[in-house]
Amino acid sequence: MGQMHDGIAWLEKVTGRAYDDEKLIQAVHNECRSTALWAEVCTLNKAIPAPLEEKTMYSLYVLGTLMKHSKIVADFYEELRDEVRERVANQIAAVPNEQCRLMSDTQPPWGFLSLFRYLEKFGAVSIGSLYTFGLIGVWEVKPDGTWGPRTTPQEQGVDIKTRDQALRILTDWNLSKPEWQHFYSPHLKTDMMVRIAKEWSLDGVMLHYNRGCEGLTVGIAENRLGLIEAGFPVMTFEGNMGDEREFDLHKTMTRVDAFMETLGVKK
Amino acid sequence: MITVGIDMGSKTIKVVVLRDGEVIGRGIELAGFESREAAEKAFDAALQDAGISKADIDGMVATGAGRKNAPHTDRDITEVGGDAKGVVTLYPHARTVIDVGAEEGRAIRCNEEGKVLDFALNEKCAAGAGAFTEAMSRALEVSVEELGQMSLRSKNPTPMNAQCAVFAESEVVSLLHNKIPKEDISRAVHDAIASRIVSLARKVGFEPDVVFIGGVAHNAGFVDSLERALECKVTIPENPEYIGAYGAALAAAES
Repeated sequence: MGQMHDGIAWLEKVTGRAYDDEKLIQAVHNECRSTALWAEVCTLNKAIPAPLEEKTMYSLYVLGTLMKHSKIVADFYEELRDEVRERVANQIAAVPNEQCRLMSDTQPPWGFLSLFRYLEKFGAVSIGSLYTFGLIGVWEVKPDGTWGPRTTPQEQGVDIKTRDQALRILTDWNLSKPEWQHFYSPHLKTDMMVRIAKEWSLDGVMLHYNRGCEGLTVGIAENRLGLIEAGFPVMTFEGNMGDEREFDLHKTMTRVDAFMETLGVKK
Repeated sequence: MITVGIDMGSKTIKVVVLRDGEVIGRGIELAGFESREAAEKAFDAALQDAGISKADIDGMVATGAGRKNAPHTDRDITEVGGDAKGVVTLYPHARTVIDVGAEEGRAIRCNEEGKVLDFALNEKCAAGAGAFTEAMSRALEVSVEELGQMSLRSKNPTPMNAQCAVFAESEVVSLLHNKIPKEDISRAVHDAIASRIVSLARKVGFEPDVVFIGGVAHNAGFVDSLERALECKVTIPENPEYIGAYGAALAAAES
Protein backbone atom coordinates (compact mmCIF):
# COMPACT_ATOMS: atom_id res chain seq x y z
CA MET A 1 0.00 0.00 0.00
CA GLY A 2 2.86 2.28 0.84
CA GLN A 3 4.33 1.57 -2.57
CA MET A 4 1.09 2.63 -4.25
CA HIS A 5 1.14 5.90 -2.31
CA ASP A 6 4.74 6.41 -3.38
CA GLY A 7 3.83 5.53 -6.95
CA ILE A 8 1.09 8.15 -7.05
CA ALA A 9 3.46 10.78 -5.67
CA TRP A 10 5.98 9.85 -8.36
CA LEU A 11 3.33 10.09 -11.10
CA GLU A 12 2.35 13.56 -9.92
CA LYS A 13 5.98 14.64 -9.87
CA VAL A 14 6.79 13.22 -13.31
CA THR A 15 3.62 14.36 -15.09
CA GLY A 16 3.16 17.62 -13.26
CA ARG A 17 -0.54 16.75 -12.90
CA ALA A 18 -2.64 16.19 -9.82
CA TYR A 19 -3.81 12.64 -9.26
CA ASP A 20 -7.59 12.32 -9.41
CA ASP A 21 -8.67 10.52 -6.26
CA GLU A 22 -12.29 10.47 -7.35
CA LYS A 23 -11.33 8.36 -10.37
CA LEU A 24 -9.30 6.09 -8.11
CA ILE A 25 -12.27 5.55 -5.84
CA GLN A 26 -14.52 4.75 -8.79
CA ALA A 27 -11.88 2.39 -10.22
CA VAL A 28 -11.62 0.53 -6.91
CA HIS A 29 -15.41 0.22 -6.70
CA ASN A 30 -15.56 -1.09 -10.26
CA GLU A 31 -12.72 -3.51 -9.73
CA CYS A 32 -14.37 -5.00 -6.66
CA ARG A 33 -17.62 -5.23 -8.56
CA SER A 34 -16.11 -6.79 -11.72
CA THR A 35 -14.08 -9.39 -9.92
CA ALA A 36 -16.86 -10.40 -7.55
CA LEU A 37 -19.31 -10.65 -10.42
CA TRP A 38 -16.91 -12.86 -12.38
CA ALA A 39 -16.62 -15.14 -9.36
CA GLU A 40 -20.41 -15.23 -9.20
CA VAL A 41 -20.58 -16.21 -12.89
CA CYS A 42 -18.11 -19.02 -12.21
CA THR A 43 -20.13 -20.11 -9.15
CA LEU A 44 -23.19 -20.50 -11.35
CA ASN A 45 -21.29 -23.23 -13.17
CA LYS A 46 -21.90 -25.45 -10.15
CA ALA A 47 -25.29 -26.05 -11.75
CA ILE A 48 -25.91 -29.30 -13.58
CA PRO A 49 -25.93 -28.99 -16.53
CA ALA A 50 -23.27 -26.28 -16.60
CA PRO A 51 -24.50 -23.12 -18.31
CA LEU A 52 -21.01 -22.20 -19.52
CA GLU A 53 -17.98 -24.11 -20.70
CA GLU A 54 -14.36 -23.12 -20.35
CA LYS A 55 -13.56 -22.22 -23.95
CA THR A 56 -16.34 -19.62 -23.89
CA MET A 57 -15.21 -18.46 -20.48
CA TYR A 58 -11.78 -17.64 -21.96
CA SER A 59 -13.50 -15.12 -24.25
CA LEU A 60 -15.37 -13.60 -21.32
CA TYR A 61 -12.69 -13.42 -18.64
CA VAL A 62 -10.26 -11.43 -20.74
CA LEU A 63 -12.32 -8.28 -20.30
CA GLY A 64 -11.88 -8.43 -16.56
CA THR A 65 -8.23 -9.32 -16.96
CA LEU A 66 -7.54 -6.13 -18.88
CA MET A 67 -10.11 -3.60 -17.65
CA LYS A 68 -11.51 -4.73 -14.35
CA HIS A 69 -11.36 -1.11 -13.13
CA SER A 70 -13.84 0.11 -15.74
CA LYS A 71 -17.57 0.60 -15.26
CA ILE A 72 -18.21 -0.86 -18.72
CA VAL A 73 -16.71 -4.21 -17.72
CA ALA A 74 -18.43 -4.21 -14.33
CA ASP A 75 -21.76 -3.48 -16.03
CA PHE A 76 -21.08 -6.14 -18.65
CA TYR A 77 -20.34 -8.77 -16.02
CA GLU A 78 -23.58 -7.87 -14.27
CA GLU A 79 -25.46 -8.48 -17.51
CA LEU A 80 -23.51 -11.69 -17.99
CA ARG A 81 -24.31 -12.83 -14.48
CA ASP A 82 -28.03 -12.20 -15.07
CA GLU A 83 -27.97 -14.09 -18.36
CA VAL A 84 -26.15 -17.05 -16.85
CA ARG A 85 -28.63 -17.09 -13.97
CA GLU A 86 -31.41 -17.33 -16.53
CA ARG A 87 -29.60 -20.19 -18.25
CA VAL A 88 -29.39 -22.02 -14.94
CA ALA A 89 -33.06 -21.39 -14.18
CA ASN A 90 -34.04 -22.79 -17.58
CA GLN A 91 -31.44 -25.59 -17.55
CA ILE A 92 -29.79 -24.31 -20.70
CA ALA A 93 -26.58 -26.31 -21.01
CA ALA A 94 -23.30 -25.28 -22.58
CA VAL A 95 -22.88 -28.89 -23.74
CA PRO A 96 -26.36 -30.28 -24.49
CA ASN A 97 -25.34 -33.92 -23.97
CA GLU A 98 -23.42 -33.23 -20.75
CA GLN A 99 -22.47 -36.54 -19.17
CA CYS A 100 -19.05 -35.78 -17.77
CA ARG A 101 -17.79 -32.75 -15.83
CA LEU A 102 -14.12 -31.84 -15.80
CA MET A 103 -11.85 -29.00 -14.94
CA SER A 104 -8.50 -28.03 -16.40
CA ASP A 105 -5.56 -26.16 -14.91
CA THR A 106 -3.17 -23.40 -15.98
CA GLN A 107 -3.58 -21.53 -19.21
CA PRO A 108 -4.67 -23.73 -22.09
CA PRO A 109 -2.59 -24.33 -25.22
CA TRP A 110 -3.94 -21.13 -26.74
CA GLY A 111 -3.48 -22.17 -30.34
CA PHE A 112 -5.45 -25.39 -29.86
CA LEU A 113 -8.66 -24.50 -28.07
CA SER A 114 -10.39 -26.96 -30.40
CA LEU A 115 -9.37 -29.49 -27.75
CA PHE A 116 -12.34 -28.25 -25.67
CA ARG A 117 -14.66 -28.81 -28.63
CA TYR A 118 -13.25 -32.33 -28.92
CA LEU A 119 -14.27 -32.96 -25.31
CA GLU A 120 -17.83 -32.08 -26.25
CA LYS A 121 -17.98 -35.08 -28.60
CA PHE A 122 -17.94 -37.14 -25.40
CA GLY A 123 -20.50 -34.92 -23.71
CA ALA A 124 -17.66 -33.74 -21.50
CA VAL A 125 -17.70 -30.15 -20.30
CA SER A 126 -14.82 -28.32 -18.72
CA ILE A 127 -16.52 -26.11 -16.15
CA GLY A 128 -13.47 -23.94 -15.65
CA SER A 129 -10.35 -24.13 -13.52
CA LEU A 130 -8.63 -22.43 -10.63
CA TYR A 131 -6.94 -20.33 -13.31
CA THR A 132 -10.18 -19.29 -15.06
CA PHE A 133 -11.92 -18.70 -11.74
CA GLY A 134 -9.05 -17.09 -9.94
CA LEU A 135 -7.06 -14.99 -12.37
CA ILE A 136 -9.56 -12.20 -11.91
CA GLY A 137 -12.19 -13.68 -9.62
CA VAL A 138 -12.06 -12.81 -5.95
CA TRP A 139 -13.60 -15.36 -3.64
CA GLU A 140 -14.48 -16.06 -0.05
CA VAL A 141 -15.77 -18.97 1.99
CA LYS A 142 -19.46 -18.42 2.57
CA PRO A 143 -21.31 -19.19 5.84
CA ASP A 144 -22.30 -22.62 4.46
CA GLY A 145 -18.62 -23.46 3.96
CA THR A 146 -18.66 -23.27 0.17
CA TRP A 147 -16.78 -20.94 -2.13
CA GLY A 148 -18.55 -17.96 -3.56
CA PRO A 149 -17.86 -14.41 -4.69
CA ARG A 150 -16.28 -12.18 -2.09
CA THR A 151 -18.67 -9.65 -0.60
CA THR A 152 -17.77 -6.25 -2.04
CA PRO A 153 -17.18 -3.12 0.08
CA GLN A 154 -20.29 -1.62 -1.55
CA GLU A 155 -22.34 -4.62 -0.41
CA GLN A 156 -20.97 -4.11 3.09
CA GLY A 157 -22.08 -0.49 2.99
CA VAL A 158 -18.57 0.90 2.87
CA ASP A 159 -18.36 4.39 1.41
CA ILE A 160 -14.82 5.09 0.19
CA LYS A 161 -13.91 8.70 0.92
CA THR A 162 -10.12 9.01 0.76
CA ARG A 163 -7.18 7.90 -1.33
CA ASP A 164 -5.74 5.96 1.59
CA GLN A 165 -9.01 4.12 2.17
CA ALA A 166 -9.26 3.28 -1.55
CA LEU A 167 -5.72 1.94 -1.66
CA ARG A 168 -6.22 -0.06 1.52
CA ILE A 169 -9.32 -1.72 0.10
CA LEU A 170 -7.59 -2.34 -3.23
CA THR A 171 -4.63 -3.95 -1.49
CA ASP A 172 -6.69 -6.15 0.75
CA TRP A 173 -8.99 -7.14 -2.12
CA ASN A 174 -6.15 -8.18 -4.40
CA LEU A 175 -4.05 -9.91 -1.78
CA SER A 176 -7.01 -12.16 -0.98
CA LYS A 177 -7.15 -13.44 -4.56
CA PRO A 178 -6.84 -17.26 -4.62
CA GLU A 179 -4.58 -17.18 -7.65
CA TRP A 180 -1.82 -15.55 -5.60
CA GLN A 181 -2.03 -17.92 -2.66
CA HIS A 182 -0.71 -21.00 -4.40
CA PHE A 183 2.63 -19.39 -5.14
CA TYR A 184 3.35 -19.97 -1.46
CA SER A 185 2.76 -23.71 -1.52
CA PRO A 186 1.48 -26.34 -3.95
CA HIS A 187 -0.55 -27.77 -1.07
CA LEU A 188 -2.60 -24.57 -0.88
CA LYS A 189 -3.32 -24.94 -4.57
CA THR A 190 -4.22 -28.59 -4.15
CA ASP A 191 -6.70 -27.64 -1.41
CA MET A 192 -8.35 -25.11 -3.70
CA MET A 193 -8.46 -27.52 -6.63
CA VAL A 194 -9.97 -30.28 -4.54
CA ARG A 195 -12.56 -27.80 -3.27
CA ILE A 196 -13.50 -26.88 -6.85
CA ALA A 197 -13.64 -30.55 -7.87
CA LYS A 198 -16.03 -31.31 -5.00
CA GLU A 199 -18.24 -28.23 -5.11
CA TRP A 200 -18.55 -28.22 -8.89
CA SER A 201 -19.34 -31.98 -8.88
CA LEU A 202 -16.52 -33.08 -11.13
CA ASP A 203 -15.82 -36.50 -12.61
CA GLY A 204 -12.18 -35.83 -13.45
CA VAL A 205 -9.42 -33.31 -13.97
CA MET A 206 -7.20 -32.50 -16.96
CA LEU A 207 -3.90 -30.92 -15.98
CA HIS A 208 -1.92 -28.98 -18.55
CA TYR A 209 1.78 -29.37 -17.77
CA ASN A 210 2.34 -25.97 -19.27
CA ARG A 211 5.94 -25.09 -20.01
CA GLY A 212 4.88 -21.56 -20.90
CA CYS A 213 4.05 -20.43 -17.38
CA GLU A 214 6.30 -21.55 -14.58
CA GLY A 215 4.29 -19.57 -12.07
CA LEU A 216 1.08 -21.48 -12.57
CA THR A 217 2.73 -24.82 -13.29
CA VAL A 218 4.97 -24.87 -10.23
CA GLY A 219 3.93 -27.78 -8.04
CA ILE A 220 1.48 -29.19 -10.57
CA ALA A 221 2.79 -32.72 -10.12
CA GLU A 222 2.02 -32.35 -6.40
CA ASN A 223 -1.45 -31.09 -7.31
CA ARG A 224 -1.96 -34.23 -9.38
CA LEU A 225 -1.08 -36.48 -6.46
CA GLY A 226 -3.35 -34.49 -4.15
CA LEU A 227 -6.30 -34.76 -6.51
CA ILE A 228 -5.78 -38.50 -6.96
CA GLU A 229 -5.59 -38.90 -3.20
CA ALA A 230 -8.89 -37.03 -2.93
CA GLY A 231 -10.42 -39.58 -5.29
CA PHE A 232 -10.50 -37.65 -8.57
CA PRO A 233 -9.21 -39.26 -11.78
CA VAL A 234 -6.55 -37.08 -13.38
CA MET A 235 -5.21 -36.87 -16.89
CA THR A 236 -2.07 -34.90 -17.70
CA PHE A 237 -0.94 -33.50 -21.00
CA GLU A 238 2.15 -31.54 -21.94
CA GLY A 239 2.26 -28.30 -23.84
CA ASN A 240 3.25 -24.68 -23.90
CA MET A 241 0.72 -21.87 -23.98
CA GLY A 242 3.27 -19.65 -25.68
CA ASP A 243 4.86 -22.01 -28.21
CA GLU A 244 2.67 -24.01 -30.54
CA ARG A 245 5.58 -26.24 -31.48
CA GLU A 246 5.48 -27.83 -28.06
CA PHE A 247 1.96 -29.16 -28.26
CA ASP A 248 0.76 -32.21 -30.15
CA LEU A 249 -3.00 -31.95 -30.60
CA HIS A 250 -3.41 -35.41 -32.09
CA LYS A 251 -1.49 -37.13 -29.29
CA THR A 252 -3.39 -35.12 -26.69
CA MET A 253 -6.70 -36.14 -28.25
CA THR A 254 -5.52 -39.75 -28.01
CA ARG A 255 -4.89 -39.19 -24.31
CA VAL A 256 -8.38 -37.73 -23.99
CA ASP A 257 -9.77 -40.86 -25.69
CA ALA A 258 -7.98 -43.06 -23.15
CA PHE A 259 -9.09 -40.84 -20.24
CA MET A 260 -12.71 -40.98 -21.38
CA GLU A 261 -12.45 -44.78 -21.55
CA THR A 262 -11.12 -44.70 -18.00
CA LEU A 263 -14.16 -42.64 -16.93
CA GLY A 264 -16.52 -44.94 -18.83
CA VAL A 265 -17.65 -42.12 -21.10
CA LYS A 266 -18.38 -42.85 -24.76
CA LYS A 267 -18.91 -40.52 -27.70
CA MET B 1 -18.41 -66.12 -32.33
CA ILE B 2 -15.44 -65.01 -34.40
CA THR B 3 -13.93 -61.61 -33.71
CA VAL B 4 -10.86 -59.80 -34.99
CA GLY B 5 -8.62 -57.21 -33.40
CA ILE B 6 -6.21 -55.10 -35.43
CA ASP B 7 -3.42 -53.10 -33.83
CA MET B 8 -2.30 -50.37 -36.22
CA GLY B 9 1.07 -49.78 -34.62
CA SER B 10 3.66 -47.21 -35.66
CA LYS B 11 6.05 -49.83 -36.96
CA THR B 12 4.05 -53.03 -37.31
CA ILE B 13 0.42 -53.97 -37.78
CA LYS B 14 -0.79 -56.97 -35.83
CA VAL B 15 -4.02 -58.86 -36.31
CA VAL B 16 -5.51 -61.47 -33.98
CA VAL B 17 -8.50 -63.70 -34.74
CA LEU B 18 -10.53 -65.21 -31.88
CA ARG B 19 -13.17 -67.89 -31.85
CA ASP B 20 -15.14 -67.73 -28.61
CA GLY B 21 -12.24 -65.99 -26.93
CA GLU B 22 -9.54 -68.40 -28.10
CA VAL B 23 -6.81 -67.31 -30.52
CA ILE B 24 -7.11 -69.15 -33.83
CA GLY B 25 -5.00 -66.93 -36.07
CA ARG B 26 -2.46 -64.12 -36.17
CA GLY B 27 -0.92 -61.89 -38.81
CA ILE B 28 1.78 -59.22 -38.76
CA GLU B 29 3.13 -56.81 -41.33
CA LEU B 30 5.48 -53.81 -41.30
CA ALA B 31 3.35 -50.66 -41.39
CA GLY B 32 5.55 -48.69 -43.81
CA PHE B 33 4.17 -45.55 -45.45
CA GLU B 34 1.01 -47.24 -46.75
CA SER B 35 -0.37 -48.50 -43.47
CA ARG B 36 -3.79 -49.36 -44.85
CA GLU B 37 -2.29 -51.63 -47.51
CA ALA B 38 -0.06 -53.23 -44.89
CA ALA B 39 -3.11 -53.71 -42.68
CA GLU B 40 -4.89 -55.54 -45.49
CA LYS B 41 -1.92 -57.90 -45.83
CA ALA B 42 -1.77 -58.54 -42.08
CA PHE B 43 -5.55 -59.09 -42.07
CA ASP B 44 -5.38 -61.58 -44.95
CA ALA B 45 -2.48 -63.41 -43.30
CA ALA B 46 -4.41 -63.69 -40.03
CA LEU B 47 -7.52 -65.02 -41.78
CA GLN B 48 -5.44 -67.56 -43.64
CA ASP B 49 -3.75 -68.61 -40.38
CA ALA B 50 -7.21 -69.03 -38.82
CA GLY B 51 -8.62 -70.86 -41.82
CA ILE B 52 -11.61 -68.52 -42.14
CA SER B 53 -12.94 -65.97 -44.60
CA LYS B 54 -14.02 -62.35 -44.01
CA ALA B 55 -17.67 -63.40 -44.12
CA ASP B 56 -17.12 -65.51 -41.01
CA ILE B 57 -16.24 -62.49 -38.87
CA ASP B 58 -18.87 -61.32 -36.37
CA GLY B 59 -17.08 -58.24 -35.12
CA MET B 60 -13.85 -56.28 -35.49
CA VAL B 61 -12.21 -53.52 -33.47
CA ALA B 62 -9.06 -51.54 -34.19
CA THR B 63 -6.50 -50.13 -31.81
CA GLY B 64 -3.05 -48.53 -32.09
CA ALA B 65 -1.72 -45.18 -33.25
CA GLY B 66 -3.32 -45.58 -36.67
CA ARG B 67 -6.62 -47.09 -35.54
CA LYS B 68 -8.73 -44.49 -37.32
CA ASN B 69 -7.20 -45.69 -40.59
CA ALA B 70 -7.90 -49.39 -40.06
CA PRO B 71 -9.71 -51.24 -42.86
CA HIS B 72 -12.91 -53.26 -42.43
CA THR B 73 -14.07 -51.54 -39.24
CA ASP B 74 -15.02 -48.15 -37.86
CA ARG B 75 -14.98 -49.30 -34.26
CA ASP B 76 -11.90 -48.62 -32.20
CA ILE B 77 -10.51 -48.77 -28.70
CA THR B 78 -7.49 -46.93 -27.35
CA GLU B 79 -4.21 -48.76 -26.85
CA VAL B 80 -4.56 -48.21 -23.12
CA GLY B 81 -7.96 -49.87 -22.99
CA GLY B 82 -6.97 -52.71 -25.32
CA ASP B 83 -3.79 -53.50 -23.38
CA ALA B 84 -5.59 -53.64 -20.04
CA LYS B 85 -8.36 -55.82 -21.39
CA GLY B 86 -5.98 -58.24 -23.08
CA VAL B 87 -3.62 -58.58 -20.13
CA VAL B 88 -6.22 -59.02 -17.41
CA THR B 89 -8.03 -61.65 -19.50
CA LEU B 90 -4.81 -63.65 -19.73
CA TYR B 91 -3.60 -62.86 -16.22
CA PRO B 92 -6.46 -62.07 -13.82
CA HIS B 93 -4.00 -61.10 -11.09
CA ALA B 94 -2.33 -58.45 -13.26
CA ARG B 95 -2.67 -54.95 -11.85
CA THR B 96 0.02 -53.12 -13.84
CA VAL B 97 0.67 -53.30 -17.55
CA ILE B 98 3.84 -51.97 -19.11
CA ASP B 99 3.77 -51.75 -22.90
CA VAL B 100 6.87 -50.67 -24.79
CA GLY B 101 6.54 -50.50 -28.54
CA ALA B 102 8.56 -49.01 -31.33
CA GLU B 103 7.64 -45.39 -30.64
CA GLU B 104 5.72 -45.27 -27.42
CA GLY B 105 5.96 -46.56 -23.90
CA ARG B 106 3.02 -46.72 -21.52
CA ALA B 107 2.23 -47.81 -18.00
CA ILE B 108 -1.30 -48.73 -17.01
CA ARG B 109 -2.76 -49.52 -13.63
CA CYS B 110 -5.96 -51.54 -13.74
CA ASN B 111 -8.33 -53.43 -11.51
CA GLU B 112 -9.42 -57.06 -11.55
CA GLU B 113 -11.97 -56.33 -14.27
CA GLY B 114 -9.39 -54.80 -16.60
CA LYS B 115 -10.78 -51.32 -15.98
CA VAL B 116 -8.06 -48.71 -16.33
CA LEU B 117 -7.54 -46.77 -13.09
CA ASP B 118 -4.66 -44.59 -14.27
CA PHE B 119 -2.22 -44.44 -17.15
CA ALA B 120 0.96 -42.64 -18.19
CA LEU B 121 2.33 -42.31 -21.69
CA ASN B 122 5.67 -41.48 -23.20
CA GLU B 123 5.06 -40.61 -26.79
CA LYS B 124 7.49 -37.70 -27.02
CA CYS B 125 10.85 -39.17 -26.09
CA ALA B 126 12.49 -41.71 -28.39
CA ALA B 127 14.86 -42.70 -25.60
CA GLY B 128 11.94 -44.42 -23.89
CA ALA B 129 10.83 -46.69 -26.72
CA GLY B 130 11.97 -49.44 -29.02
CA ALA B 131 13.25 -46.99 -31.59
CA PHE B 132 16.11 -46.23 -29.20
CA THR B 133 17.33 -49.85 -29.13
CA GLU B 134 17.19 -49.97 -32.91
CA ALA B 135 19.26 -46.79 -33.17
CA MET B 136 21.78 -48.07 -30.64
CA SER B 137 22.06 -51.46 -32.32
CA ARG B 138 22.93 -49.63 -35.55
CA ALA B 139 25.51 -47.53 -33.70
CA LEU B 140 27.07 -50.69 -32.23
CA GLU B 141 26.75 -52.52 -35.53
CA VAL B 142 24.85 -55.45 -34.10
CA SER B 143 21.31 -56.74 -34.52
CA VAL B 144 18.65 -55.80 -31.96
CA GLU B 145 18.56 -59.44 -30.83
CA GLU B 146 22.32 -59.45 -30.26
CA LEU B 147 22.07 -56.13 -28.41
CA GLY B 148 19.73 -57.71 -25.89
CA GLN B 149 21.92 -60.76 -25.31
CA MET B 150 25.09 -58.66 -25.03
CA SER B 151 23.53 -56.64 -22.25
CA LEU B 152 23.22 -59.79 -20.13
CA ARG B 153 26.97 -60.37 -20.45
CA SER B 154 27.92 -56.93 -19.11
CA LYS B 155 30.50 -57.06 -16.31
CA ASN B 156 31.02 -53.35 -15.57
CA PRO B 157 27.80 -51.32 -15.81
CA THR B 158 28.49 -47.86 -17.23
CA PRO B 159 25.80 -45.18 -16.84
CA MET B 160 24.64 -43.40 -19.97
CA ASN B 161 24.70 -39.65 -19.44
CA ALA B 162 22.83 -38.50 -22.52
CA GLN B 163 19.14 -37.84 -21.95
CA CYS B 164 18.27 -37.89 -25.62
CA ALA B 165 18.38 -40.63 -28.25
CA VAL B 166 20.23 -38.35 -30.64
CA PHE B 167 22.99 -37.44 -28.20
CA ALA B 168 23.14 -40.99 -26.89
CA GLU B 169 24.37 -42.10 -30.27
CA SER B 170 27.29 -39.67 -29.97
CA GLU B 171 27.94 -40.94 -26.48
CA VAL B 172 28.05 -44.55 -27.72
CA VAL B 173 30.70 -43.59 -30.26
CA SER B 174 32.74 -41.90 -27.50
CA LEU B 175 32.41 -44.94 -25.25
CA LEU B 176 33.59 -47.23 -28.05
CA HIS B 177 36.59 -44.98 -28.65
CA ASN B 178 37.34 -45.23 -24.94
CA LYS B 179 37.44 -49.02 -25.32
CA ILE B 180 34.31 -49.60 -23.23
CA PRO B 181 33.11 -53.12 -24.13
CA LYS B 182 29.97 -53.30 -26.26
CA GLU B 183 28.37 -55.47 -23.57
CA ASP B 184 28.62 -52.64 -21.02
CA ILE B 185 27.37 -50.06 -23.51
CA SER B 186 24.44 -52.29 -24.38
CA ARG B 187 23.50 -52.59 -20.72
CA ALA B 188 23.77 -48.80 -20.32
CA VAL B 189 21.33 -48.37 -23.21
CA HIS B 190 18.81 -50.77 -21.71
CA ASP B 191 19.18 -49.29 -18.24
CA ALA B 192 18.49 -45.81 -19.68
CA ILE B 193 15.27 -46.91 -21.37
CA ALA B 194 14.22 -48.89 -18.30
CA SER B 195 14.63 -45.85 -16.05
CA ARG B 196 12.26 -43.85 -18.27
CA ILE B 197 9.71 -46.63 -18.38
CA VAL B 198 9.88 -47.20 -14.64
CA SER B 199 9.25 -43.50 -14.03
CA LEU B 200 5.98 -43.94 -15.95
CA ALA B 201 5.15 -46.96 -13.81
CA ARG B 202 5.88 -45.03 -10.62
CA LYS B 203 3.70 -42.18 -11.83
CA VAL B 204 0.66 -44.48 -11.94
CA GLY B 205 1.72 -46.24 -8.77
CA PHE B 206 2.52 -49.74 -9.99
CA GLU B 207 1.56 -52.82 -8.01
CA PRO B 208 2.01 -56.53 -8.72
CA ASP B 209 1.45 -58.47 -10.77
CA VAL B 210 3.29 -56.51 -13.44
CA VAL B 211 2.86 -57.74 -17.01
CA PHE B 212 5.19 -56.52 -19.73
CA ILE B 213 3.97 -56.49 -23.34
CA GLY B 214 4.91 -54.95 -26.68
CA GLY B 215 7.65 -55.84 -29.12
CA VAL B 216 10.44 -54.76 -26.78
CA ALA B 217 9.40 -57.54 -24.38
CA HIS B 218 11.32 -59.91 -26.67
CA ASN B 219 14.53 -58.11 -25.67
CA ALA B 220 16.04 -60.16 -22.83
CA GLY B 221 18.54 -57.43 -22.00
CA PHE B 222 15.81 -54.84 -21.56
CA VAL B 223 13.70 -57.22 -19.48
CA ASP B 224 16.67 -57.66 -17.14
CA SER B 225 17.15 -53.89 -16.85
CA LEU B 226 13.43 -53.35 -16.28
CA GLU B 227 13.20 -55.92 -13.51
CA ARG B 228 16.22 -54.43 -11.75
CA ALA B 229 14.74 -50.93 -11.98
CA LEU B 230 11.31 -52.08 -10.81
CA GLU B 231 12.85 -54.33 -8.16
CA CYS B 232 10.37 -57.02 -9.05
CA LYS B 233 9.83 -59.73 -11.66
CA VAL B 234 7.59 -59.09 -14.62
CA THR B 235 5.40 -61.57 -16.48
CA ILE B 236 5.77 -61.70 -20.23
CA PRO B 237 3.04 -63.43 -22.25
CA GLU B 238 3.70 -65.50 -25.31
CA ASN B 239 3.66 -63.22 -28.38
CA PRO B 240 3.70 -60.04 -26.29
CA GLU B 241 3.44 -57.78 -29.35
CA TYR B 242 -0.03 -59.15 -30.13
CA ILE B 243 -1.68 -58.34 -26.81
CA GLY B 244 -3.08 -54.99 -27.99
CA ALA B 245 -4.75 -56.66 -30.96
CA TYR B 246 -5.94 -59.47 -28.65
CA GLY B 247 -7.57 -56.92 -26.36
CA ALA B 248 -9.25 -55.26 -29.34
CA ALA B 249 -10.63 -58.64 -30.48
CA LEU B 250 -12.01 -59.23 -26.97
CA ALA B 251 -13.65 -55.78 -27.11
CA ALA B 252 -15.26 -56.75 -30.41
CA ALA B 253 -16.88 -59.72 -28.67
CA GLU B 254 -18.27 -57.51 -25.90
CA SER B 255 -20.00 -54.94 -28.09
